[in-house]
Amino acid sequence: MSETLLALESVEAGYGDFQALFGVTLEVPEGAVISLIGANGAGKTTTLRVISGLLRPKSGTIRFRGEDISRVKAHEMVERGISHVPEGRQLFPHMSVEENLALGAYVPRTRPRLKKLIAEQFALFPKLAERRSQIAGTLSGGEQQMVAIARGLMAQPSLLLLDEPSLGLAPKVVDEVFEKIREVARTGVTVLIVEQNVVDGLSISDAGYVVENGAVVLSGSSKELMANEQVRAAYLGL
Amino acid sequence: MDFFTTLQAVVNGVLTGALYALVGMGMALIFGVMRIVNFAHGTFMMLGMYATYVLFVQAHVVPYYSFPLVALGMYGLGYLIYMALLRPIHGQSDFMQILLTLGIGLAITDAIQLVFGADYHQINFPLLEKNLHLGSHITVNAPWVVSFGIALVTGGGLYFFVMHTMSGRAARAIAQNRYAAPLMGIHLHRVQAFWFGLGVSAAAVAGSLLLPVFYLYPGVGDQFTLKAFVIVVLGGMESIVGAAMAGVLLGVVESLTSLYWGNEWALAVDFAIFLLVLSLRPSGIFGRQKA
Repeated sequence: MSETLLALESVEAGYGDFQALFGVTLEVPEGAVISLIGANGAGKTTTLRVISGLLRPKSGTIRFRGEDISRVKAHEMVERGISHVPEGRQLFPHMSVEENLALGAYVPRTRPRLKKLIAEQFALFPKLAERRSQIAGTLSGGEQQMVAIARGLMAQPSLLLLDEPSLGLAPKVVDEVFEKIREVARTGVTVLIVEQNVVDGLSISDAGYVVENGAVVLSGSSKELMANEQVRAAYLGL
Repeated sequence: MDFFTTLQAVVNGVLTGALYALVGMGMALIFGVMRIVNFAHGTFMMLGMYATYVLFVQAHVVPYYSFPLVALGMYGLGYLIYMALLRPIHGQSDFMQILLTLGIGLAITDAIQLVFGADYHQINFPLLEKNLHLGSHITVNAPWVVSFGIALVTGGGLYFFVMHTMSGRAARAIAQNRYAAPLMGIHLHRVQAFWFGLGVSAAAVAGSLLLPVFYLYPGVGDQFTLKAFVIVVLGGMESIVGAAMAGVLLGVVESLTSLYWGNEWALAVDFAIFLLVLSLRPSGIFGRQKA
């Protein structure tokens, strides 16, 4: 097994009085694709928000390359190499595709290479090259998701957090998006993906964690999870 | 009244309107990026006028040379005010922001009155006597032409900066999706402080340019806060191009109103337009219609 890139240890977090995470512990090895699966409201999105600094954990530690990042703010996380592609895509709706991508390279580490990085994204997503001048809000759902992922990659992350990339997309488009994520992973980017679409999520992952009521209840390789009776009953409807 | 009288009024209106445009652009920037209606906006313009006045009286620098210095100083002040006062109430209700900016405006106005007194001041230098003739019927006062040129360059520069630099992009990113902006590595408060400073600075430049052709007194900014508010609403709240166009439009409408109905009607017509636009087309004349 390769080195651990990200490790969460007994992370607790919440919103005001509402506690969402009750001690999440997980590990993401460098170069791997890891899925977080679980029901709506289980704490998957909150886990990503805590990792990317949008939400500060109440207790526990988050280590990235061995360094404690649990107090690092969201805008500093990008510079460190963590890109968060949020649920619902969250593009800048009145800007062109190209400007959305440009903002992905906002941090000093990547800004000087803006042009080259945009060209790289267009090579990976040829459809976006055709739509470079189109206003992001007018794109189809699938295209918007591609922009969101490409924008995340503009920061040249070592860890890419993807929150529900299949949300609201037609099955055919979902296949397309997952194919792209597979391609991204092949370039060596470590991916932590949250998916309600458990089969698709696990099919592109090396391993997964099952989150229930704000804690990890099960983990294993994707194959093991797919074969697990509990997982099959609860999430695959089998 | 003949054609040339009307044309003259339109020309005068455009010249005044360019300064309104600058004030309005500053307010639109501030509103667009941080959703703050800056009720101290005219006060900052007044402060810019006093700074320009002091530089003229003490150092004999005419406004057309001193305005960059005034702009820089007011940028710094805006930045500090954001960090010290506006940042702590970030995310709280609009009511808080209205009260706070109103309070900042009052405090500054009173401080100025304390230092300079409530007297009216005016400055005088040779250029003020010069007139330019466009054809045989249209005459324009030279300072207005100079200020128009400077306003045009400043406004154009501001537009370019907003649309074509990474800093401008970051500001627009915050305006369009403030949740996603930090995920790009954008430091919300630093960017907002920067643009608040710039918005304040734009108002101050307009103040510098207005000083030679206007009276100076501590309350001079109040009417401009109201005008800026009208301009920003006409322009579609967050569009700086809309604000620029609305500023010029307001200048022309005021000028024509003064010509045909008399000076005392100018402000009334401003607000008549304001009410009409708010009730008929709340997204503004130049704003994008939101679904």
